[in-house]
Amino acid sequence: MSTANGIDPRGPRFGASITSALLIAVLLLALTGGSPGSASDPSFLLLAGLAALFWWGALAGIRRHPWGLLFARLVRPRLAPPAELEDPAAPTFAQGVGAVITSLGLVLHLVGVPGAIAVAAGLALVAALLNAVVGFCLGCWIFALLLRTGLLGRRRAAA
Amino acid sequence: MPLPQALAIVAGVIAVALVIGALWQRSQGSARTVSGPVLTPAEVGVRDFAPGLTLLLLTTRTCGRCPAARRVLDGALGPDDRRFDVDLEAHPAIVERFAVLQTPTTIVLDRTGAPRARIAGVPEPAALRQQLDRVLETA
Repeated sequence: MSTANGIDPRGPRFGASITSALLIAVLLLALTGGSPGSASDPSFLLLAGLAALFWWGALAGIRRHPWGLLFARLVRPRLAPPAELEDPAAPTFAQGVGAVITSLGLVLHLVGVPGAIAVAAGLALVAALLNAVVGFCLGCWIFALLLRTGLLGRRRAAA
Repeated sequence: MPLPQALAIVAGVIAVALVIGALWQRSQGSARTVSGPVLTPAEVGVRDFAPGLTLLLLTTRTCGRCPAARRVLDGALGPDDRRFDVDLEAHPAIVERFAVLQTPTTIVLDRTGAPRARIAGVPEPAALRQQLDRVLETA
């Protein structure tokens, strides 16, 4: 937990607002059209793109996510320096949660579950909006919950 | 589904997120009084508790706002107070004991190790010292 190589906390929130806008589009497309099992639905294709971005952020780290790079290149230079830096582990973990939710929706849609895309996009949208609007940190909640259920823990955090 | 209905559902989802966000924000940052059995320094991996107040910052490796919480806590410490980080992965019993749902969570102990107050989220800088003084008055 060193802040020496921390990130600007506004970066993940900037990314979450782009993701929110795209998830709104997915939700609208899924509600107005598409059929379960079809891999050529526009809503399926757009959500698949978003899932790929989530996996990218989760595996390569939030700083190498396209929205993170966009923020660093275009937005950050125009802002005053942040009051404090944030540990990149938290938003990276949240990307993983997004990746799992959207991937589950895609798989359930492919096997023919009706509404899978809309439900997955809706859940991801709530989390992304909370992150964008009030800076809610999903990793701060889910990680503590996983510790309580014993799915995680009993080892030292690797620095 | 026709477009107006779809738009209404999207608006509903956005409204739910905003309500949750507003409720969550209200729960953050201020100290509330707690009580419970006395902790020993060994339970949280420290040598001694401070002669004033001991602030335990409960943290994990995915706690994005813990650096901010640490800065606010350190800014409010009196000369006899100390702040310690408690890594929840190394101290799972603390997670159970305080029913920790989120990080950062701060537990305020008096000099005997008895929990006196608890702060969810990043503490409110303007109010924190006053809240700590109130704990000291009753300690």
